[in-house]
Parts: sequence; C-alpha cells; structure tokens
Amino acid sequence: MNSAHTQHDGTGSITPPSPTAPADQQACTAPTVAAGRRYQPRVDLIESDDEWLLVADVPGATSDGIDVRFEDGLLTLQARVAARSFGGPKFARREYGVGDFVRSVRFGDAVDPDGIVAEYDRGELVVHLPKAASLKPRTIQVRAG
Amino acid sequence: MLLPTNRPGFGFPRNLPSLFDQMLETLPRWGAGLDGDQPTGFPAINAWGDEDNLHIEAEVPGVGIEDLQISVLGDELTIEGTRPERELQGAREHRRERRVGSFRRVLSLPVDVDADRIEATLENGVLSLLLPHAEAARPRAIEVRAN
Repeated sequence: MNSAHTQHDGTGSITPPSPTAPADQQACTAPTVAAGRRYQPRVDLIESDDEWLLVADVPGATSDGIDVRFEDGLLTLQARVAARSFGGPKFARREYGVGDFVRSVRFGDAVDPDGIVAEYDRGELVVHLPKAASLKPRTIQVRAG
Repeated sequence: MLLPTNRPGFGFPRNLPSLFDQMLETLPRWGAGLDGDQPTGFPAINAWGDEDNLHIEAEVPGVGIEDLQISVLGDELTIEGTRPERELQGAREHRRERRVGSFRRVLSLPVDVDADRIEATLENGVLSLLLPHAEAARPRAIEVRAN
C-alpha cells in the first residue's frame, strides 16, 4: 500500500508530505453526515514535459454528472453523487459520507485552456491539461556560423 | 542542440498550480472516519444490517472486478485487491493523495451469513455487497399452540 499523503494546511497551498502525521490518523472534525454535504476528492497532480495530469477519486459519480470547468486560470471539478439509502439511521460502520465531490486547482496561465480533456472511468476522473506553449521545452536551432 | 527552458528557477513559477482546499465548505476525504473514532484503511467501508441481510459498501475507485477478491471464512469477510498505479515516464509528482497498490480489509460479521448467496456489484468505483443471514441466524416466529 502506497501511503503517500499530503497535508492539509487550510491555506490552499501545497505542502509536502509529512512522514510523522499520516492522514489516516488525523482527527476529522466532521460530525454526522447531513444531506447535501460536499466532499473534496483525493487527487494526484503530476507534471510531465507537455502536460499536467490531475486524477481525482470520485466514487459513486456517473459520467453525466461530472462538470469540469476552467475559468480565469482556475480548474474546478464537480461530480454529482446520487444519494443512496443506507437502510436506517444506525450504521454498524460508517467510514465515509455520500455527497457531491468538489475541488479546485489554480493553474493560472500555465495551461492551454483549449486543449483540456477529461475522462471518467470506474470512479476516477482524469483531467489532462496541456501546458501553455511558453512552458513547454523547446528545441533551439543552432545555425552554423 | 536541446536546451530545456523550463528548469526550476528558469522563469517558471514552481509553486504552480495550487489547490484550493479550503473553498466551498467542503469536507476533506483524508481517510479519517466520519465519526472521528473509526480511522479507515483502504477501502473505506459503510456497513449496516436489516432483518434479512447485512449490507456492506466500499469505495474502490479505479479497481476493476478482475482486481478484486471477496471471501468469507467463518465470521470474517475479507475484501482484497490491487489498485493499479498510473505511471508516467519522467513525470514529477506534485501531489499524491490517492492510495494505490495492494489492499486488504477484514471485517468481523455480527451474524452468520449464507456465503453461497452473497451478491456483489461494482459500479462507478463503489462495491456493494449483500450478505443474506444464514437460516439459523434469522429471527423466526415461534408458533404458540393453545392447549
């Protein structure tokens, strides 16, 4: 099991993973589940030479309930998750709540908005964001003098 | 000649992009139990029961039916499998929150179940199990005969 986690510092910036505080052991202050709760999906953000790859876990969503928007440099993912019945108020075990997933990532002008492509399969949303041309590595032609 | 122009410190802001975790009053999914006292492994599980069945649901995004094994032995249910990792050559990882690799969770069942009649469905990354109570575990009405 890869237990790589990143910490949640509440400021919106990326903090490096902390080996001393695995996310599993962090207290969650959320009380009980209420209808209409929204959740932040877990994400991976990977950079290659040509693109950013954002992968989000949105289990329970269907492809027609997914909305990916890019506006003013801000990418926002929304995935609707239909309410489902858990057979009564008493759970023998409850480790997650069911609700829509929402998360945003600011890319600024680092991406080419026209080339953004998203795909969804088996509860995973994958967004490809091509880098803006100015950020891609380029070959410089050296002419003989 | 190749001249990389996107090296760190070479005009490209390395703190991009940033994740807006605090917005919209959303709740993080960091793996802690919603009740605070049930920290979870992978996958996270919800379970409940009714008169005839136990219901167990697990979030297994990205896992195919071929990567999943479910077994019942005695009063223990085991859910195990592998979640494939997405590999990109030469890529730099900025954020890794999703859990990948092999996983295994064992749950103690509160009643005997009929292992032959367990139904499992996997849809959109959610595994749903229906475990019928074993005959012996069912409540039954005892007829009281008048003398």
